[in-house]
Amino acid sequence: MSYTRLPQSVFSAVSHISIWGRIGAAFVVAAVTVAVLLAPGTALAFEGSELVPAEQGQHFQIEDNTSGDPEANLPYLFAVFIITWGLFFGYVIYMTLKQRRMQAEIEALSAAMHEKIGTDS
Amino acid sequence: MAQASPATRRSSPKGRRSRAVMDVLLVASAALMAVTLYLVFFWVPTEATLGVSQRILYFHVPLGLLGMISIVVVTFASVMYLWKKDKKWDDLAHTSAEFGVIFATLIIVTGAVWSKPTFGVWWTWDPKLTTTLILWFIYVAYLMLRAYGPQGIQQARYAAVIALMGAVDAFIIYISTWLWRTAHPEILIGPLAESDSLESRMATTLLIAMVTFVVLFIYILMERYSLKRSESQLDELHQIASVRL
Repeated sequence: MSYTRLPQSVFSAVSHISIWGRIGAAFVVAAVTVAVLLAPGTALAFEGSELVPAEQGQHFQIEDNTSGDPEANLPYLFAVFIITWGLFFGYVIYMTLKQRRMQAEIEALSAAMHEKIGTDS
Repeated sequence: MAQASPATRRSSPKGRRSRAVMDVLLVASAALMAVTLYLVFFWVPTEATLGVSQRILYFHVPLGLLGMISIVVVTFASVMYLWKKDKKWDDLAHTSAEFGVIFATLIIVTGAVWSKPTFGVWWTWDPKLTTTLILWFIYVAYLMLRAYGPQGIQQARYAAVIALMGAVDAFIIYISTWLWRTAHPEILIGPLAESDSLESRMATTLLIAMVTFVVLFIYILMERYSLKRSESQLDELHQIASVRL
């Protein structure tokens, strides 16, 4: 079995199970995955619950802005601003490119159909 | 029944109405964004301990809200597809899942950037952060299935099931700060939120920022959904053309 055929064969095997069976299996897999990934954090949280004040979190402490300069963290705010809008604009560019590609396909299809109609008549 | 071509659909009365609504939403989101930026950078007070980095809240929380809305839309559309077997629901789910990935990415990245000046670390295996990362993986898997999995009805069904897994995880994310004692701040929106958790000007700014991002989300969702429907119809035209030409 080649590497590229593997996903298709997995999908074929799953297709014999009913849709409710697949939904059930998916929920079980999701629950187990979530439980395994959360187990260490949960254990740590319970272990340290009597030692660390709740308002300071379990694994780290809030660092006070001891410099007294309220603008000390400005680069972080700027980074969030740039990342958010950069990703939004990136997505808009992706949509625009997709629309252009589709327009080109429509034109090619339209030209092929006109050519076919011309040949038939 | 033959479906209208993308060009015909755009010039139909319904298509023109949708276009008009999208234009209004675009103008509204631009105006609201200007107001939000003014409020965030010039009006809202600076938090004493965290300084200006606390203003990341006005991006991070609305993005979290949009992430949750995306998941609700994906889940609803996926259930409707499994029930009705109508391709338009599948198109809506696929469109919204793309937004799910974008917003989950932004939530994780903006959260990490906020975490560094606040807690001194970029990342920790906190339950809320971990479940959000799991959600990101689920939706990346969803898009990978769309790109590389089987085509047609089979793909739509598998995708719908993955979307439902994402919905379960999204619910766990929402209640995680209530279920576990985490370092992540408490819930600010929704039924589990505590009242008076924010100063009044901060709450007002956050509310306006959320409205702004929701309007922008509706606009982009409508644009992308329209494009997705056109793609689906173009695929059908290709299939018809390949038989006839």
